[in-house]
Amino acid sequence: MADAKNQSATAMASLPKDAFEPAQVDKTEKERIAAPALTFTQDAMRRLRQNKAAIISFWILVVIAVLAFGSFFWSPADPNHQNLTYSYLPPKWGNLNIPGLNGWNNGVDVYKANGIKDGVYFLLGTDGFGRDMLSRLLAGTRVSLIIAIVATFFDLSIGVVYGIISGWRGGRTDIVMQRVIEIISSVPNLVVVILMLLVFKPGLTSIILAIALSGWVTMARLVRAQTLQLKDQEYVLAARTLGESSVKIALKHLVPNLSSTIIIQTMFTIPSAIFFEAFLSYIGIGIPSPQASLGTLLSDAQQNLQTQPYMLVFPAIVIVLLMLAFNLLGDGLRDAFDPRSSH
Amino acid sequence: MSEDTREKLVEVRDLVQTFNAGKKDEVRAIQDISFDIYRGETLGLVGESGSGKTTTGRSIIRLYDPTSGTVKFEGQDIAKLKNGSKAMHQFRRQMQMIFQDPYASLNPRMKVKDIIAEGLDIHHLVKSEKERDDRVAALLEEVGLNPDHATRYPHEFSGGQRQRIGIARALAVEPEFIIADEPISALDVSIQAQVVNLMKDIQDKNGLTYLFIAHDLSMVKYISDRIAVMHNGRLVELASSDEVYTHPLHPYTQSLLSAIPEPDPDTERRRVLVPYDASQAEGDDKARSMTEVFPGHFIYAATDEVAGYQHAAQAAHAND
Ligand SMILES: Nc1ncnc2c1ncn2[C@@H]1O[C@H](COP(=O)(O)OP(=O)(O)O)[C@@H](O)[C@H]1O
Ligand SMILES: [Mg+2]
Repeated sequence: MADAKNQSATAMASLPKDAFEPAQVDKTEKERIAAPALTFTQDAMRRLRQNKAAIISFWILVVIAVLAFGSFFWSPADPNHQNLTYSYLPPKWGNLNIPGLNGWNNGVDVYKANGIKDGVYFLLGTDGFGRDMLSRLLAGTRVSLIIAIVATFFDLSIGVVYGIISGWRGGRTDIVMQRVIEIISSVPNLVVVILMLLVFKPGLTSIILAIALSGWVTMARLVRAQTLQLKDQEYVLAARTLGESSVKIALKHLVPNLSSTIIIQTMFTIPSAIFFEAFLSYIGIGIPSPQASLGTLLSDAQQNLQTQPYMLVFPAIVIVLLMLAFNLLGDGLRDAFDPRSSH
Repeated sequence: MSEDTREKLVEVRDLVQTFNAGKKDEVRAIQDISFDIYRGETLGLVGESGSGKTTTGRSIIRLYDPTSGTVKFEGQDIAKLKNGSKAMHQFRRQMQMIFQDPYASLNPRMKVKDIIAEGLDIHHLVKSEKERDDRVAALLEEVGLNPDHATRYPHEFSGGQRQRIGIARALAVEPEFIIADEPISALDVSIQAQVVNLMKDIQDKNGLTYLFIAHDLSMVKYISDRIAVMHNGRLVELASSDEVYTHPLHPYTQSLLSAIPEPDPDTERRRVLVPYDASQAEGDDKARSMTEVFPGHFIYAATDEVAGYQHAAQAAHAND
């Protein structure tokens, strides 16, 4: 022990003094940042990509959207074309003998029993009027997605703008605008739609109007609450002391910092709008027959639930997928854009 | 007196700022304060947290509309400037602010160069993208930052660096007067001196006038020519920096000074805290106003207290 100590001491002593000199580091070099520049959005996207459920949901939505909107240009059959000879045919996928998709229903080969020609088959079967269920399902999904787009549009155009103005102006403007929101949201959506039936025929128009009237309320509230916080942030005050106009402050400072809230809330507005339409159509005051929508498909199928269960299964799967995928993607976006909020 | 020959850049008269007036949660943040800031000087504004310093700064720069009283900048009443008017636009260039929280004062979604160039864009001070980049680089250099970092986002910088970015943003519009609202209190002690020195250098180079707000006296003394002490929304003492430091007259100032720790352990051991009883010097119902009790030394006092303060001032100076 003592030896080692002595040795190192002599070794130290024998080192010439001028063997060391302080390293010269340039002052600017010391402050240099070496990490790659990541924007907030890039960072959020990186977090989002790690969330498998959100990514799978995203791709499911892409596939559904491509198929549904693709059916504008190519559909297996006209969704409203009736042909009573093909009435109530179960799903049949060519000559693949997959149970449930082989044309058998209740122990009978329905295609054979009805004397359908070889080579004629329907992937998702037909309904009582012989309409192709696949085409109807695609058309119905399309309606849901159109509703989704409409709801997003009103969320962004009315909800965000209303919320920013209310929060930014504050004071009396804010009080009045918030009372208006309370009045709007105190009237149930269903009542609004039923009242509209007095003026309009049931259909897409009255559903869209109902969404335009009240679908953006939650977005407006969230945006207002956050604008109230943001407007006291020192970077907003700095912009004001520089003489920035209110519109520019909203565009440069508020909207970018509200973007997570906006994206996340949109992802929760969409499924509720889709469900709203399906529900109205299901109870018969939404999309009128013979037009297809997920709601009308479900309500038709329900009447034949015991004899033709396949009619219910496929629209049900689609609406479940839509709701789940939007919600999971919304959750994923929230965790990615607002990491603090995840528990 | 000699001070009167200097040009008054900012004149604050009987300024009152009340929040939520008439409601249950009414706050009288500033209650009737008056002071002047001369061109080229640094006026330190000290007081404990909640005493109304930030509100004073924000009223002067017209982030708040004063409840009553006037603020004049270069002789012009700033309350009369209309939003969106040409005069207001001009005023927004002449007066700037450096903020307290280096984390909240920079928009996290903007690149450093866009943060700094915000004023350049608003006031059309540059004509081309290239000129804009050059100006930003020069400003970054001026505040001691690496110009290569112009395309970075604020979260990549340390607190001290962010505060420098905030200073560069204020300097971009070439102001005459800068209000610095506790610019160093959120920073590490090791960084504080750097930022204060930077501000001093910039002031010398550009002939700026500062209102330097802080909650403790130690750093303020170093940068300020005169110091105003604030308490409960009122000014209680205003005098030159040395005067406030060596001959504090108001009991609140004396208490504030006694709270500064001494670097020397021997004197630190002997340091006695002077408690302050507000009911004695400002709490009762006597009418008080800022009174000059010694040349250039103002105290918030009632008429019957003036003689006592004058006496104390003369006694203190006789001992010099
Ligand atoms: N916007 C506001 N609304 C209501 N009260 C405020 C507002 N700003 C400041 N105050 C109150 O005014 C008083 C002075 O605050 P401030 O000027 O921030 O003090 P300081 O900067 O000295 O800490 C505090 O009591 C504070 O709560
Ligand atoms: Mg403050």
